[in-house]
Amino acid sequence: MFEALKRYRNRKKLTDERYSYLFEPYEGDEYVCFDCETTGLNPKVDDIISIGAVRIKGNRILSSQKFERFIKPRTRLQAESIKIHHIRECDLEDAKEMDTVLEEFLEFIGNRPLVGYYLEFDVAMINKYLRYKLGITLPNRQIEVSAIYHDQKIGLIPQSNVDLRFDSIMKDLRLPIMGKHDAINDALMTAMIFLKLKNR
Amino acid sequence: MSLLEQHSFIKGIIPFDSLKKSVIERIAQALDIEYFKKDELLIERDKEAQYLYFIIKGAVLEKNGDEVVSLYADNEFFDPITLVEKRAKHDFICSNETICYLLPKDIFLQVMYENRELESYFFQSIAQKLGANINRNSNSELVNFMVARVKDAYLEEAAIVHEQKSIYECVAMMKEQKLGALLVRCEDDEYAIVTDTDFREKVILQRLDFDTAIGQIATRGLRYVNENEFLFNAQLQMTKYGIKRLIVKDKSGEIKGILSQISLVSFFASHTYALSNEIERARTIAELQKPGKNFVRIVKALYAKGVKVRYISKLLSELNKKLFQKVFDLIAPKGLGESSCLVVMGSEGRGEQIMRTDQDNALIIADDCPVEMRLIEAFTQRFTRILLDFGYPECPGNIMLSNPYWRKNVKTYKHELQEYMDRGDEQSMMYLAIFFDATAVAGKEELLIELKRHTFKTAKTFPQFYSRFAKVALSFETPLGFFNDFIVDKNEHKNELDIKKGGIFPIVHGIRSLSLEYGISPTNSVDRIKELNNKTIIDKEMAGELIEAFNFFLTMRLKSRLEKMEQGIDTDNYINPGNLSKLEKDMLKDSFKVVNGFKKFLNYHYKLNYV
Repeated sequence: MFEALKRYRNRKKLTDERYSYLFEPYEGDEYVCFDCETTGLNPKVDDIISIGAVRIKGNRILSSQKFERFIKPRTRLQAESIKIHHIRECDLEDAKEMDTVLEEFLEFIGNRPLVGYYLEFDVAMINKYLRYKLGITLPNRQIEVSAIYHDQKIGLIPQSNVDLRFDSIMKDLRLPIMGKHDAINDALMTAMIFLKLKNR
Repeated sequence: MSLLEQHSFIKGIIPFDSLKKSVIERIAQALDIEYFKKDELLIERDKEAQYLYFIIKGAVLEKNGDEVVSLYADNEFFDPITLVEKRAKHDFICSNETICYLLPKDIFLQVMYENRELESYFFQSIAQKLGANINRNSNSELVNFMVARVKDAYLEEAAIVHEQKSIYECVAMMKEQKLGALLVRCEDDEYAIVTDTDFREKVILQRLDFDTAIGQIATRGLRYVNENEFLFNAQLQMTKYGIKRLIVKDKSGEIKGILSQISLVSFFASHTYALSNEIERARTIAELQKPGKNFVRIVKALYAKGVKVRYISKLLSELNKKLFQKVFDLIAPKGLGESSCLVVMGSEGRGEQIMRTDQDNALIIADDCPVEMRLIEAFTQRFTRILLDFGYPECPGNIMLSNPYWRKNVKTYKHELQEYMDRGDEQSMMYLAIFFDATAVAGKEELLIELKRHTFKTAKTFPQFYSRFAKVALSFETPLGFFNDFIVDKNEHKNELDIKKGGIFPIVHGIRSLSLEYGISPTNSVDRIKELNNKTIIDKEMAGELIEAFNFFLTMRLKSRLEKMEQGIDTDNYINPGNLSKLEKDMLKDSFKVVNGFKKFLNYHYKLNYV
């Protein structure tokens, strides 16, 4: 009920009617799994460095049609985050402006449901730019894999602490680690977690 | 730009590794990832496939009906043949949850036709696979016989009568029910058998009264076989005990029927059977030549069909024994057969050799043997030479009956065995180990049994002996590193590991030590393990694991030897773990872990830390 209301308010704020498709109810069988790499962990001050996203259709991850973009930074990269992502400033030479990337991203996801790990943070990061550009926040349905995992685990062992760290989940589900942590690999691995949980 | 991950995945897979970077890039970019549930059908027989599948994680079975043709594990792919021929020969089914990369058919075919190396690789392997199939089929008759079980053969009905029934009534019953044999239940609940031969020889020729109780002419000492036993094991039993019928029981011990030699023969048309007959029929050494040279072919054929190596070696050792026995019978001087025993020792004695191994044999001569020593010596020289002709290399340690040290009378052997235990040095332990695995091949088996009994008895009088003997099992390190990696040779056998020292020997010798301590008489390691388990010396879990690991080591060694033989390299005990599939590597690691566990057990059991 409140969801519907929020949705309605959000829709009213949309400043560009070309994007009204984002608010259409979704009918298909696809999902989009996405992950952002950022300059830090505070959506208010930090920026997105890269976005990785893949579509999931049925039990297939369409990695051949992946979405991977690097964004020109407005602030300098923090040494801390360079250590995590291994994205140095010189790696961002073929990066694009955030505005362009955002348009391409919206086109890629459409009105499909979004899947992610601590998706709230990634969505908040995107919303920061989206609010500025179109006046709205992402209206798509959001599916949090760590929540599904938690619910499945707690069903097995009530009153336990569920280890929700990304690598722990991967290990527990016996999924292969795909190389280093970057946006697209994390999106891929999150997609695998999602499929595995969905099929249980 | 593509995903680095996919790129390096493809680059790590033969034959794609030889492709140019740009081509790999093209493949990497086209890959999708798909998740499959257990038992999901990926490619259906007789249908076309749309993708080449690379397994990221999981396992996929290639099946022809119920028969598993192949197994694919992590980092392996399937199935190029289906894509090229536009039709699948078999079903491909997930045996477990599986995640795959999918490469669209068109891209795979394009890349293949544009890159010569790839094309020739795939066509060659397709041709090889087809060739292998044809070879396999030509042996299928033999092979079907080898893997058939007792219950697959025609079993005669087992009619049971009480021993007090009259001969006349029994014959009438056999005629009416068209039976070839009758089972007779005796007073002590044992069974005996009556066949046409008994009526002919014990009744008619002896002019016995037809009203006599059937129990009087029935033959006791029946041999039983489980209905799930391999048919060739049944054949081995018949040949071994020289009997024509085996009584078939099911798991619960209930009698299911009678397996006669005739129904076995109707199953035959088999090489092995023919081979063993040929050996039997031979009247000169020259006639033995031909069957003697066929052994290796049989090993290959059986291995190709996936018959367990343990059964192959058992069969081979029975054939070998037969051959030795025949040679002995043909050339031994008169009277020697009754007053001596020819034994084979070492792996031959345990029935565990797969290719033909060195001659490890000895002659035990009765203390009162009337045959002149000069004649015996001439015979042993000739025996060794003939076996050499047949392709059994001489034993490098000269452990052969042509060496006077391995051609002694019972009294000297007894003394010598005692000496070994007393001295306890390396050489003595080795000789004792070799001798303890001895199996009688020809002549008087009682002589060997007497010596073994003596060994068990004497060993008890040397308290330090058991642990000193067992310690030899720990002579070699298990080639498994701290991080669960293989430790391979760095010098002459670069990247290879010695599977005998690392895996086979510790099990064989450890089990041998326990068998010596607990007076267990079978010589085959697996039989010994089972017997030790029966006596609750080792628990069921350990017994099962040891047997699995041991069989796996033997299989790996045979595989490597057959490959080396094909390449014309000298066969040895080394294998290259790099040549193994992911699954085989994992199994090899697990098997080495079993060895480590067993070594710990020995350490504890014999308190080897204090020796």
